[in-house]
Amino acid sequence: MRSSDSNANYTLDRFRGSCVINIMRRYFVRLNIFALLAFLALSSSAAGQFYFGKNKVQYSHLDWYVLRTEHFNIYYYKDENNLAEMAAHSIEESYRLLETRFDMPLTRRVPLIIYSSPNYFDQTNVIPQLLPENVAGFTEFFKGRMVVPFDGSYHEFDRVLRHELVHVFMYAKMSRIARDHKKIKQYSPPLWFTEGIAEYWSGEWNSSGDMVVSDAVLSGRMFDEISIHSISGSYLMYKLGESMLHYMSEEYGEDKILILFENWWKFGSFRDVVHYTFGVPLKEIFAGWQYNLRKKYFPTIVDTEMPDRTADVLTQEGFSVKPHLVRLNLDDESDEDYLIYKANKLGYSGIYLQEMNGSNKTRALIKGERSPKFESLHLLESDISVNGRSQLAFASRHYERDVLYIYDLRERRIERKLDFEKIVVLQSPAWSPDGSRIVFTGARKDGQYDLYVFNLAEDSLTQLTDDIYWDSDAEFAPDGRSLVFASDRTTDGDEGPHNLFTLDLNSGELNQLTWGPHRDGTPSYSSDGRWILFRSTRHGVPNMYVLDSLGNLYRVGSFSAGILDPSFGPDDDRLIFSAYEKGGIRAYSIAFDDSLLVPMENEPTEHVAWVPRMISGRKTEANYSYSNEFSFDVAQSAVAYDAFYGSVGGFQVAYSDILGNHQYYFLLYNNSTVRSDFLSSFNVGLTYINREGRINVGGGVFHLFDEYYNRQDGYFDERQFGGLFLVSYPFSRFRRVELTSVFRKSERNFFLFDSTRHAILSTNFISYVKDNSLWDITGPLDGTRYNVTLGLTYDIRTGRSFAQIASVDFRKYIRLGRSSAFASRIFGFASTGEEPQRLYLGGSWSMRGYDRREFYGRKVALWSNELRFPLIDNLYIGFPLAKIGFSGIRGAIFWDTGNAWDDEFDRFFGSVGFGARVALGYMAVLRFDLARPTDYRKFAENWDFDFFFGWNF
Amino acid sequence: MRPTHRYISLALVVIGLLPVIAGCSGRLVRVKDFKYSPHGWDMFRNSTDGCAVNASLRDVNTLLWSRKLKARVYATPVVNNGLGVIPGLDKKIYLFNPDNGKGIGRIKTKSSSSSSPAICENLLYIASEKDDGRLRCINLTNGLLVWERKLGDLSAPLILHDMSLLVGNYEGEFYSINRFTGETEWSYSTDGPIKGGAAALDGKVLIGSADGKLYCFDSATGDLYWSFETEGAIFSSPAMDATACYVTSFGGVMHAVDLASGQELWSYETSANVFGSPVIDQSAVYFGANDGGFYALSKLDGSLIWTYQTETIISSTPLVGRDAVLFGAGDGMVYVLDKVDGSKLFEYQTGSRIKSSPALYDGKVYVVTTEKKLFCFGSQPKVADNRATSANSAE
Repeated sequence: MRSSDSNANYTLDRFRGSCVINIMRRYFVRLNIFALLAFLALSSSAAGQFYFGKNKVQYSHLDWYVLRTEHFNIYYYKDENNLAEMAAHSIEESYRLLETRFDMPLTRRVPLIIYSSPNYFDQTNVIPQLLPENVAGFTEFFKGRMVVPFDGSYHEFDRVLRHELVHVFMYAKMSRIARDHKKIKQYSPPLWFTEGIAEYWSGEWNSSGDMVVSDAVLSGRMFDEISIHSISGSYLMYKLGESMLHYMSEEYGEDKILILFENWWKFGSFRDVVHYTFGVPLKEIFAGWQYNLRKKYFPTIVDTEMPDRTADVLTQEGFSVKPHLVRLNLDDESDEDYLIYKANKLGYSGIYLQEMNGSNKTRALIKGERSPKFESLHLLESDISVNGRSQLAFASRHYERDVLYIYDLRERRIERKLDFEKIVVLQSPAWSPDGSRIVFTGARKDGQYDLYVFNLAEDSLTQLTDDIYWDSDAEFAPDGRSLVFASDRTTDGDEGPHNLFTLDLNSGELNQLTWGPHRDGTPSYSSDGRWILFRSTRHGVPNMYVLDSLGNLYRVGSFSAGILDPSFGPDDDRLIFSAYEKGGIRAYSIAFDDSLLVPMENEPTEHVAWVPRMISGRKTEANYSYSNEFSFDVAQSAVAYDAFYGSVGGFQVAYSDILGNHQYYFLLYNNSTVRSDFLSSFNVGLTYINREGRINVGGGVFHLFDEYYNRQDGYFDERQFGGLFLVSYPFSRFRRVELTSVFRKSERNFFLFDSTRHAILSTNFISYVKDNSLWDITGPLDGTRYNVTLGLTYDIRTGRSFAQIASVDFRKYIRLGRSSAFASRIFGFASTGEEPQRLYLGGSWSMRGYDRREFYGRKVALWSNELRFPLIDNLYIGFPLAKIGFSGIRGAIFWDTGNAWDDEFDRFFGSVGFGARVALGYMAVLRFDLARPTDYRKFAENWDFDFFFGWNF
Repeated sequence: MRPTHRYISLALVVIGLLPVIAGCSGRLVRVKDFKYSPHGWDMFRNSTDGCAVNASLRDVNTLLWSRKLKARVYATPVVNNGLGVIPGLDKKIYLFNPDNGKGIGRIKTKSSSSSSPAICENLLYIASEKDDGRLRCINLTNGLLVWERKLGDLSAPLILHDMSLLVGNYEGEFYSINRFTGETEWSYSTDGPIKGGAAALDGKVLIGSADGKLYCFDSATGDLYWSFETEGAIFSSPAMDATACYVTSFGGVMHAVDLASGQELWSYETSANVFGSPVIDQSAVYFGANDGGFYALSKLDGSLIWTYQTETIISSTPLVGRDAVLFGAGDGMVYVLDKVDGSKLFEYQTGSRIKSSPALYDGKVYVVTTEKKLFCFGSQPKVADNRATSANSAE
């Protein structure tokens, strides 16, 4: 699975471990060290839910079954029985193919977990990370699990299954070769190769590949072995990787790809093994590939046009999709033309309205991805529609399901929310001409995508199609009596083609309009009904075509860039479309007249209905209800000691079931320094977390003994044993409440005072957390997050209060540009009681320009402000042996103010400074800070330099 | 220095010198009383031309014993008169007793060995892969290294032909080596890695290369007679008779080529890659493919005589006897098929993939799996036959 912002968000959050977590950590050390160990060190999933981070909410209880085939255990829930049988057939077919290509059988059964829709897939516990919307499936390597959702297309489902299986085979092959030759040191191929080979061996080169690769070539964005890392994880990288694999295979022979894996053990780097196998350096292969691409795509511009040269560019930033030019009377004065479209301008997706009177004034109508109301607008998948009554219809994810919203453009408010219980996925709503009905594509829990129409006056929903075919992009004819839509119900539709069909709403009669192995889609009528405008791949990259009322087909112009979502303007004299150009998608407008039309063939061919291929009974070895199948995730040993936090590490084991719903974490280490202490110095803990339902619950027991130090008490040792109980309830993806209770006996021996303190303590926290932040590679850039925590520790026997804690951590990110933002953090902490909690403040994690333990007290105030901006996009350093590249170097100017104190507040201290952040892949950020402390009377004479690994706050 | 310390120091020096002393002796391994038998399984396919063996395999129907190995193995074992040799991927060549599989010695090399060894008289030939890249000749009776040559990354089987040893390397060089002196008699550069073994007959030597060509040389001079280009890389060893040769390509096609002209006689296309080498008898050519099919084709015109479909890949080379064929498959199954109609006579699940070719010696078939196991198959004891006879008598 590839990383993206939200993925990185979670992962980064887990490792952020920095500023506030470490500030907070101090009191957790005393109160709840094992909870920390369990949640921060062991449980990556739970850790993501800790302090900040978005939530993976289990809205539904799914009744899981297992279909055992020859090489796979397919995990599915009851409603997707047919899908499981299709998946079984598809994956076994892929297995046979890949077994021959890799010249290797898999030695163990592969777990395959399927979901009937992306909305359920989103809830998977197989990995803790939140899944970005564009993830079509992933393979997890600890247990070798493949996880794939169905999105309506059997062809795509088949392709994704095979894609993921290539990953399984590839890593099995590399691992096998290394083990055979007793090579312990492993290295991984670059992501472009890993994903490229998975794409290459999972299907034919298609028009999507042509669209993005030709655009890269024609816009002069070619990549070499170093610079391709700058687009790591992007769709462009996938298709460039696939293109590269095609080239390597065609130029050097398909066998070389297999031999590359056979030679894996012989070298220590990908570059060397490629050089040895192909006989030429990787650099030269890239050069040859680039030359090949230029030869392939440069000639295409002879007969085609670039959209930005021939059409009017209507939008500029980011991805602008589903544009519609509509004539509305929004101010009761006169009809005006407006462009309404979906866009991802600066990270969040939204729906925008742009005036077309020359001012191009744009306002955001709907801001998506920040609240459960508009959790996802399905930017690329779902169209929007406006009727003559100035009503906008659009679909959005709302908690678990998609809902249909009707938005009043005049009043600028949501007029109605339509939530259909049986429809999980809802796409591309379209108004009838009279505004009384809305047609849309809906998917049930079983994964069947059909057409539905909702009558607003009658408040009734009617299912129009009911079969296994994927019907999409429906639009009413101007007379309202029929629909045009795209469907894979055409000949060989299970292999990718989509053609256009009409559906008579009175008779229910279906009529095929276009034929051939093409991807025809997004049909749209002209207002007079004379034309049906649509997008098709019949000449490679998607372009515009029209059908006249007699069924004659014409190509509309000829563009080198991929054309998406075409529609007619209000007078049918202009065409509005979006086009993939120069790595972005912008909206365009072009005049429509007969001079643009080029007649094309559209001969009907014999229609051969296809049916999904299911696995035969012979190959189904078993089919049974799922009961938790546990296996180890991680077993490792490591020990570290910190005078402040005691010993950490030891022997750690994570143990979970296949679905990731039940997780056990076990920790064992011994920190005795003399033999007599050995038995009493065992630190052991067991935590269980149940993530099956919406409420995550956990519990555990522990025994801890270690030595600690703090400024108040000096050195002391403490023995703690007891149990803990954890609850987390997510209200939505963005908000949750957490409860933690720890009951323990605490025996503390103070070295300095030669005294002891024994108590049976109960520590209880309640936290309310919100996080809707958006991240780039160095930290959050947009959104808000906060954590409000209250805590109470008391002696169970006496009822004495040991500590009361209140903390607030509020962070706001105001986006200023694509990679720039103003970030502000306010942190307040106070503790009272017999043993009030004290925190350290200072250092790179909090107050820059000061030592890590410069300030110490039971009250803490901190205000950090930071301007984040891009410094260098790509930096390449020519080392003697190899070129090393860094992408995404960011700069920061900051100002911190704060202090920690006990009773008497003295004054605020502060610092100003600047720094740089270097992203080291998606897993770490190296930060350099130069800060000059101040007591607000004068600045210190010297600059304080510090660096550390960690994300921005 | 105190006397105690002096003794300790002396002991350490002696211990330290032991490897040096051992190294000076040059003895790699010694097999006491080894006497070469002309009826052994001396190399990959045990023939220079890839012809079937004149032995019955029909009665191979039982596992005699199996033995755990210490290394993973890609190569075919050689077995000769009380000695079995298996090259391991763990930089060791293992010697075993063919009667029970017990180890009797090992030879350390500096790299893994996936090249099938060869044995002739008292000389054992072994090759190692990239890090070491040497071809070695070892006298088994005294354990001394006779000669060694650094020839590059060697993974192709070693083929004995008259006084020569034929081998190709990953760099594409094909060598005819004097097997007594180790000197190069002639060599030829191809444009791709050589991973298959050679075939030789009647003064002609054939070798396939990953450059997609099958080369035919004069075995004495190395002069190139012709080359035949296939549609894909050749990773297998060709087989040949007096008039034609047969070679499989990565693209999944079996080609029959006229030995005199180098022109194609016929071809047969399977539906997947082919890594295994063909074996021929008087009328047919036998091979397995990664589409799971085991094929018997007519040598005359390439027509399919019979095919046996398995559920997995077949990338090993078969053992073809007088009356049956035996091969291992990717799912660990060992199959014995009737040579006439391809019907299954025996199958056995070894538990892990079989990549190397079987060896036959003294009526026993040796099969090595990739999961470190050596299996020995043979005929079932005659008890069952007696019972059947008794039963018939009772009737």
